[in-house]
Amino acid sequence: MIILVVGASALAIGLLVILNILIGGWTPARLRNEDEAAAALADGVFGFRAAAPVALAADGRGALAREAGGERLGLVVCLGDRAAVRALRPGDVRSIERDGVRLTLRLNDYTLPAAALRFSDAETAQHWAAEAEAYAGAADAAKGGAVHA
Amino acid sequence: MPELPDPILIAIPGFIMLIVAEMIYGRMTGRARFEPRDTAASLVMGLGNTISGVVLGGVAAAWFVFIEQFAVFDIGWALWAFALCFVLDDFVYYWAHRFAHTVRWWWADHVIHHSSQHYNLSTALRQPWLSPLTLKFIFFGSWLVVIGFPPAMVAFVGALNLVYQFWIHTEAVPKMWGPIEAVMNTPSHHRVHHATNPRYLDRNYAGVFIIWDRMFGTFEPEREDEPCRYGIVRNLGTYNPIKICLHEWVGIIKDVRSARSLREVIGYWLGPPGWSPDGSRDSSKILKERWRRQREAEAGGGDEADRPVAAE
Ligand SMILES: [Zn+2]
Ligand SMILES: [Zn+2]
Repeated sequence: MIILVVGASALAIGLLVILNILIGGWTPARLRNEDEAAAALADGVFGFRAAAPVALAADGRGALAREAGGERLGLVVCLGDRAAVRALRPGDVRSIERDGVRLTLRLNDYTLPAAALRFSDAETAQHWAAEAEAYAGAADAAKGGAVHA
Repeated sequence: MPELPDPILIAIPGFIMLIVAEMIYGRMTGRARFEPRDTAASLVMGLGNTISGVVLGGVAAAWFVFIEQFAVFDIGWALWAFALCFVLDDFVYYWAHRFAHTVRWWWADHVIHHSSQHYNLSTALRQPWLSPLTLKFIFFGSWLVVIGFPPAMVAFVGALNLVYQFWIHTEAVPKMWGPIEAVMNTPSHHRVHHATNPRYLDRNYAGVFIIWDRMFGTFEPEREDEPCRYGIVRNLGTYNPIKICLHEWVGIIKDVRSARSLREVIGYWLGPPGWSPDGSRDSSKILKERWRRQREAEAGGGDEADRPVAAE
């Protein structure tokens, strides 16, 4: 009996997800400008006020900003039609990789292990790689977990 | 003892049909939103919960059979007993649910249900896999059996309670007729429960009857001027069911390993979610306090928008 229920449920899940894909109705989340990125940070971490400049990924699927009057680094990563937001503190960044316009932060975060942002120019990526340096774990930095430009 | 059906198994086809209906209705009206990977994650969590119920549920069943011998009364199977058991079980549900939000050990289990940023009927099925291991059934499940309600009756009304809660996980149903909103848990009340807006945090723990929240001071009505933002204080960056299942346990283990005293171990384990020794993390209490102060400041004339401000 239970095998039947599990088998039928698994089939139903597959069909429901296919229906969801076919029917559409969602759009990938995108931050259209710096104000939207700052608002996403404020919504995601209550009380977080982004300091200018806010670095918006070229595709609008992510953003970085320092905290105004605070020590944290705000990170927005779009995920489907929603976003995951973090206020990073020193030690939260495991490693930083930069490859041209692309910046990848690996985090000490079980449910958000990495954030890859592609900026419109290499300078911005370089600037934020340097900013993120302050949030890299001391132990990891010693092992070479710092910027790989 | 009467032969009782399993209400959840019977309801599964209804759940599926209602999800299909909500998807189609949502597409036509924009009043329900589904995202395939989120939907898949929620439904897989629901399936895993059913399987774990079979595998681990025996632990709880054995406990109830054991404590049945200590029952004070022999209440039996009268119809009034079913009705009374249903209401009392809902009362117990309120408290179990309230503790599930205020003790991290139990939150680690319940957080799974809150971990979607969507609020649709599939969210209702996003359920934990390891509940029996939290021993919640001992602390909250024992009362009615010890009073004298048959364990099978307690399990039956408990399942009915969960089936009721399915339909309230929707944005498609607006506020309902006043007397219904006054007594019953409704989509509107439960939207508030799933919201992370500081005003709404840790409110509306009800299962079937909202009266418990009104009685014990945890009721908060949904407001038109404050739309719900669903999810958890630190939203997940993954759809991986294993990570959804384990993430708060991993957090507890990590924190307890970093603890420098027994007080910190207990705080990280049994304190409220978001507790930290120096108060640097966001617990509900801290968020609500910050929100209250921000409102007072705004009422005092300040105007703080979400715009980025010049770096100091
Ligand atoms: Zn809850
Ligand atoms: Zn719920």
